[in-house]
Amino acid sequence: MKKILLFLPFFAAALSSSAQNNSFRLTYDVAIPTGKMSEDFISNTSWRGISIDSRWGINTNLTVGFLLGWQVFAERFDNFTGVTSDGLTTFHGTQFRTINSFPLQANTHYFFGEEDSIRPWVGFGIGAVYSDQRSQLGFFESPTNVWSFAVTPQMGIVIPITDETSFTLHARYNYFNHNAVSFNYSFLVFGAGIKFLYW
Amino acid sequence: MRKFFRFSFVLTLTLVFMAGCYPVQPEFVEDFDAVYTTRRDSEFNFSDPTFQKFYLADTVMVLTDPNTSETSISINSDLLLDRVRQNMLQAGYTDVSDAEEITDADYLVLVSVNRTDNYFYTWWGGWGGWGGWGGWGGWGFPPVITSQNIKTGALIVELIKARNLGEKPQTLPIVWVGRGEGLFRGSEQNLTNRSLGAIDQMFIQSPYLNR
Repeated sequence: MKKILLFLPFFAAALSSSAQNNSFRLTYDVAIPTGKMSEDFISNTSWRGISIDSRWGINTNLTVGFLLGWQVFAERFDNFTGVTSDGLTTFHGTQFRTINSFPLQANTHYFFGEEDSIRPWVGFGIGAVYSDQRSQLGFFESPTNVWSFAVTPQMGIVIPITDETSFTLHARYNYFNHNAVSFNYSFLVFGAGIKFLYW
Repeated sequence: MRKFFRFSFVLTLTLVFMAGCYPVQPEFVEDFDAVYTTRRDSEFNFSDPTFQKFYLADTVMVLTDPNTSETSISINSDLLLDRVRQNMLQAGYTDVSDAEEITDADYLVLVSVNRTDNYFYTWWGGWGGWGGWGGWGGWGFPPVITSQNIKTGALIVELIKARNLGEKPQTLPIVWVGRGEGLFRGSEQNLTNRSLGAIDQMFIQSPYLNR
């Protein structure tokens, strides 16, 4: 216990010394499905995405934090024909598919350049994702709750506007691994938003 | 104040997005139409070349329970029967619906329809109540009850193995079922067109029926 109490002041000092990197980001995200997700389920670009990204500076270049996001994928399939797994029943109609994905990830980022200047960054996120996947045909809906392990390499750039706010752009590659459905989720995210300093 | 505006901005944006959880949904009545075909007897060999003749029952059965739903189907039954007959002929079968030859049929074809009225009730409002020790809670109003009837319909085509059937069989050996479902809404012409389209689709997605 004494060792933890001794450690805390050094940790606090490290955070406060990099206050410029203690920030909160709110971004609008556009996502493009890739791989099996695009081939087997939804290929439409998602124009409904939002993420909240909070970061704390370890030093002037390195941050740690978390991300909370929400991305909605949806596609309509006219004249869709499918067969049940036993091969005995064939069904036909207009099918509606949606995926609502909620990632919660810890992340770390490395910033290049000087504070108060345009700063590119690279980073990595890891965490869990809850997704609600649904297919509807006729009066029948098939919902599936999907929990995934997520890894997200990412990059971006921060462009200062005022002392406390900046414009932020980013690109992320999301890979969600799970067993609940026959394909893993993978999609590219391109986002733009505002960064606010905490203090 | 800045923190308040930031929080409000975040909350507003989140609420806007929450309204878009399911951006693609059925918009038109036809979006609910679906056709299902099932090989009821998984052991039955539809490729058996000796199964050539069919007998089509001359009446469309209405399966609706009159105690729960309206029984009028608003569709010309003769058109339904004729479309089923056409599809069976195009699939390569021979029509033996002449009564004298009924015992020669390999398949008995039955057509039936079902309509279901699904009633949903919602009610809102109600009396105001005591305000507690402080006195009356105020004037209230009687509850308002609204009802909604979502009507659905189904068209069913069944292929029954007619050989060695007997006069009054306990069970019918159904080998294939086609079912078209949808909202029971629209004009008679609209309902008829959708029903005829469903019959065609049943045979399109069942190529194993072809001779």
